[in-house]
Amino acid sequence: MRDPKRRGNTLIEFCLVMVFLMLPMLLFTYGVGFNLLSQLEVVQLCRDAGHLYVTLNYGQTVSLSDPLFTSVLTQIGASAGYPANAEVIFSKIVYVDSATCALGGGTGSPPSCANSGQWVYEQYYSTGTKITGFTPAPNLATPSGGTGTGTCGLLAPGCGAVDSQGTFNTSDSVSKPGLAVGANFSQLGISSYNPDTATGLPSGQAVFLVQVGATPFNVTGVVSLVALNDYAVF
Amino acid sequence: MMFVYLDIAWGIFCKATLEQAVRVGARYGITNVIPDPNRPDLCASSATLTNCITQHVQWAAGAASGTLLGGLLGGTTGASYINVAYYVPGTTTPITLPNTTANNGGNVLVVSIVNYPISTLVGPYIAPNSSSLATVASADTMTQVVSTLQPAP
Amino acid sequence: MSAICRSRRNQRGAMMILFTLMLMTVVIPLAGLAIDLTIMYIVQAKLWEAVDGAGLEAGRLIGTTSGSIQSLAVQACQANFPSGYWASGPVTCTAVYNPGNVSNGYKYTVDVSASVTAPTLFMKVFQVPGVIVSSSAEASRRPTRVVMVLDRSGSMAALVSTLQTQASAFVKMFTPNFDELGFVAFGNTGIVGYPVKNPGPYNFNPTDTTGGPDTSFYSQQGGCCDEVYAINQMVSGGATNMSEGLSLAYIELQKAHYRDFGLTNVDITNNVIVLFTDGVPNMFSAYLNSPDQQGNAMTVAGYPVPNVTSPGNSLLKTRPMPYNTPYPAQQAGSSECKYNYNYLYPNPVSNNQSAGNANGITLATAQAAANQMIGIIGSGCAPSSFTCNFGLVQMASLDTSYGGGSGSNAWSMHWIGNDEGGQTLTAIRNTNPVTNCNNLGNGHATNPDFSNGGIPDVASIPPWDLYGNLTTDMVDVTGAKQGHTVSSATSFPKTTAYSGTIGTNDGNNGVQLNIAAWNTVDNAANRIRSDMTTMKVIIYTIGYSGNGGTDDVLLARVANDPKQLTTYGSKNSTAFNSSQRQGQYFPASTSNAIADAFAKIAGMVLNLTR
Repeated sequence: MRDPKRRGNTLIEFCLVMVFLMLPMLLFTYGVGFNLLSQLEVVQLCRDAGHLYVTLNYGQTVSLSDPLFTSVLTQIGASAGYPANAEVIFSKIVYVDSATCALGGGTGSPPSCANSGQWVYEQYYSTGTKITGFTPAPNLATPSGGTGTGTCGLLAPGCGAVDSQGTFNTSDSVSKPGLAVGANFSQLGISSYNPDTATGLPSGQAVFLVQVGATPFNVTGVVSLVALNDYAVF
Repeated sequence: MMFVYLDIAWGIFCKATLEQAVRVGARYGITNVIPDPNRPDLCASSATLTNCITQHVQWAAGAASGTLLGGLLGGTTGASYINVAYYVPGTTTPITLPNTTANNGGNVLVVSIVNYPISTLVGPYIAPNSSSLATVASADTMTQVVSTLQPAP
Repeated sequence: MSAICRSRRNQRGAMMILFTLMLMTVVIPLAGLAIDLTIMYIVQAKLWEAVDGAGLEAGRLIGTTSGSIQSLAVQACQANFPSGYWASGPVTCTAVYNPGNVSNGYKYTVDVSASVTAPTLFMKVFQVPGVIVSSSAEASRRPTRVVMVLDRSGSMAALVSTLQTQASAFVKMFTPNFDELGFVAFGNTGIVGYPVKNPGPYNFNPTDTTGGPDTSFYSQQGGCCDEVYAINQMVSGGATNMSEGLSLAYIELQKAHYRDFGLTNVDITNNVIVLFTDGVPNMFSAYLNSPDQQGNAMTVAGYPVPNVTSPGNSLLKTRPMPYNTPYPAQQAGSSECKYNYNYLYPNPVSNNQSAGNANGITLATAQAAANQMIGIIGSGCAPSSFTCNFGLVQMASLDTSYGGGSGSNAWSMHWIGNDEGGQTLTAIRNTNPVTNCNNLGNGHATNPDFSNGGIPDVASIPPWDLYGNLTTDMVDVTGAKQGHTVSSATSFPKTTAYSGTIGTNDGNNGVQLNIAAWNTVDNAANRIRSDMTTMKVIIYTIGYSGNGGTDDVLLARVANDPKQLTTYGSKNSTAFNSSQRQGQYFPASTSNAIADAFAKIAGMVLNLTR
C-alpha cells in the first residue's frame, strides 16, 4: 500500500513542471508578442504617414507643421508611441542627373557636380523623439556634415542651409557630399533609376522615403532590442 | 499562470486584430465607392460610405459578413467603438455630417477604434504602458471619383 | 494489494499526459494566435506598404514614359519588401498600366499586386508551415485641365517679363499629351491667349469643339505657337477687366469638356482656374441693350442651345434685361442713340436700325448685330482716383482680326490696342454711320460729368455684365448682403453704397463703376464654383501686392479660401461656401513669392488628381 504521505504528489509535480515549462513560454509570448505588436504598429505608422506625406504634398507645398498633419500623425502614431517614444523621418531624394545638376548651378557640357550620379537629399525632416540606437534600414546615411560625420542642422557646413521644413537648397544638394544618401540606397533596388540613360524615373522626379523608429518593449533577460524600425519608399 | 498566459496572448491578438481592422476600413474607405467590388456582400447599395467603412472594420475584426455579429466588433455595441472622420486639408475640425463634400477627393479620412475594452485580467499590472482600453487609428487621402458614383459620406 | 494501491499505480505518469494534452490544445494555439497571427499581420502590413509605395511612385509617372511605368512599379514594390523579411518567402510583385479612355472617363491607372508566404512558428506543429499573404493597390491619375488667367494691365509693365518666366515654368510642370492647359490674359478686356483660334472673332459658344485648353500646350521645342510662346507675347497696358478674364476661362473649360465628353457625359478631369493679378478690378464688359430674356451666359449644368438666329441670346446671354423698358435710359435733352457697332457676331447681320423715341431706346425682340451695344465700361483708374472713366469700347474678342497667328500683325497678345479691337471707335463709327449718337462710347473721358465724352446716354449701370455676372452686391452664405463692402483694397470705396447710377446723376461715376467691376468678379467666381455637378471647378488666386496693393479679401473670396474668415482684411467676409470646392489664395509681395505660389498650386493641382 502506498505511503499516505505521498498522496497529492502528482499535483505538486505538475505545478513544478508548469513553472519550469510554462514560465518561459509565458515570458516569451509576453516579450516577443508585445514587440511584434509594436513592430506591427510601426509598419502601419510608416505606411500611413508616408502615404499622407506624398498624396497631400506635405513638405512640398504644404507645411509639415500643418495642424491637420500634426494632429493626424499623432492619432495614427499613438499606438506606436509617437511622439514621445517614436520618431518619423520624411525625406525627399532625387537623382543628380545632368538636368538636376544644371538646376543646382552645375556647369560644363554636360553639367558636372560633386554629387553627379548620386542620390541626394532635397529634404530631411524629423519629427517626434529621437530614438537611441535607431538606425534606419538598410543603414541609409542621414544628412551629415563635413566628410560624412555629424548631423545636419541649420547652416551646417556639410549640408548648407536648411529651412523649417528640412528642405535644402538645390545648389547644396548637388554639391555637398554631406547630402548624398549613400551607396546603401542602391540596396533598395533604386539604382536602376537613371534619367540620364532614359531608363527609370524621368529627370527631376523624386523618391520619397519615410522612416520610423520606436522604442522597443524590452523584458529583462528575455528581450533586449535597440529599437524598432521600418522604412518605405514612395 | 495559465490565466496570465491566456490574457497576454489574447491581449496581443486583440490589439493586432484591431490595428489590422482599421487599416482594412481605411483602405476600403478611400476608394470612395459603394459597394466595395472586392466585398460586395458587405454593404447595401443604399448604405453611406461611413456605414460601409464601419462594416468593413467589423468584418475585419471577425464579424460575419451578413449579420455583422461576432468577432471583436460585432453588433451595434462593436460598431459604437468605430469612428470615421473626414477632414478638409488645412482644417483640424472633422467635417460635420451630413455634408456631401466630406468624402471629396483630397480630403483626409481617419478611421479609428476608440477605447475598445480588451478584456484582460492582468495586463495593466504587467505591462505599464498597456491599458485595458485600446485606441487605434489609420488615415489616408480620399480618392476623387466620378461625381455620379461618389456615395454619400 | 488493495484497490487503492492498484489505483495509485495506474495513475503514475498522468501529469505528463495532462501537460502534453494542454500543450497541444491550449498553449500552442494561444501562442499561434498571438505570435503567428501578429507576424502574419506584420507581413500583410509590409505588403500593403510595398504595393502602395509602388503605386504612388508609378502613378506620378502616368502620362510620361509609359513604357517603364510597369517595371518601375515592380522595382519600387520589391524595394519596399526586402528579401527574407520576417523569414518570409520571396515576394512576387506585378504591375499593370491601364491607359485611360473615353469610356472610363480618362482614368489612367497602375494596378500593383504582390504576394508572399508568411512564416509560422507555433502553427508548424499543426502542419501549417506558412500562410500566403497577398495585397494589391491601384494608383490613378486623371488629366488636369487648367486655364491660367493673367493680369496684363498697365501696372504690370515692370513685372510682365517676370510673370512670363514664372507662368511658363508653371506650364512646364504639367504633362503634354496628357494634361490640358490654356490661358487668358486681361487688360481692358479679356483675350484667350491659348489656344487661339484663327480667324476671329472669338467664339463664345461653349460647345465649340475646336476650342478650349488642349494637350498641345507645350511643344518643348520653343517657337510658335504653343502656350509658352503665347504667354511670352504678352504686352502690358490697359485696365483690369478681371471678371471677363474669369468668364472667358470658364467658357474655355466648358469647351474642353464638351470636346472631350460631350454635353452630358460626366467629367472627372480636374478643372482648375489659376488667377494672377496685381491690382483691383476696375473694368467689365457689358451689353447695354440686350433684349435677352432667357437667362445666364455661363450655365451651371448643361449648356444652352446656341440660337444663332438671334445673335443677342446665343452664348453671351446676359440676365434678363427689362423687356421693352427704355434701358439704358437716355439723358433728357441729349441726342438719341439708336445703335452703335457693326460686329460680326457670330453671323453678320445687315444694319437694322430699331425705332427709337425721344425718351430712350425701345428694345426690339432681338438685336441685330449692328444694334448691339457691347463693349467695356469702367473707371480705368486706380481706386483712389475716380475721375477717369471709359465709355463703351469694343472688346478684342469681337474683333475680326482676333487670333492672328504667327507673323500676323494682329496677334492679340502683341497689341494692347487689341483690347479695344485694334480699332478706334471713330473708325468704327465711320464705317457704320450712326445718327444722333454723338456721345455714347466716345472712348476715354476725363471729366467725371461726361460732358466731354463718356457715356452720358447711359443712365445707370446694367445690373449684370456681358456674361450675366451681377454688378450688385452679392449676398453671402448667411443671406447678408456683402459684396464690395468687405474689400480690403486701400482706398476702395467699400463704405459707399452701390447705386448703379452713372452719368451726371452721380458726381463720382468712377466709384460706381469700380464697385460694379468688383461685384462682377465676386459673382463670376461664385457662379463658376457653383458648377458642382458638371465640372467642379477649383479656383486658385495669386495677388501681387508690390504694384500698389491688391484686394486680399476679394481674391480669397474668388478662391473660396476659408482664410477669408480669419486672416484677410477686416476678417468680416463670410462668403466661404463649404458646398463649393475650396481653393486657396496666395498673397505674394515679391517676385520670388509669385514663383513659389505657382509651384505650390501646381503641386496641389497634380496631387488632387490621385
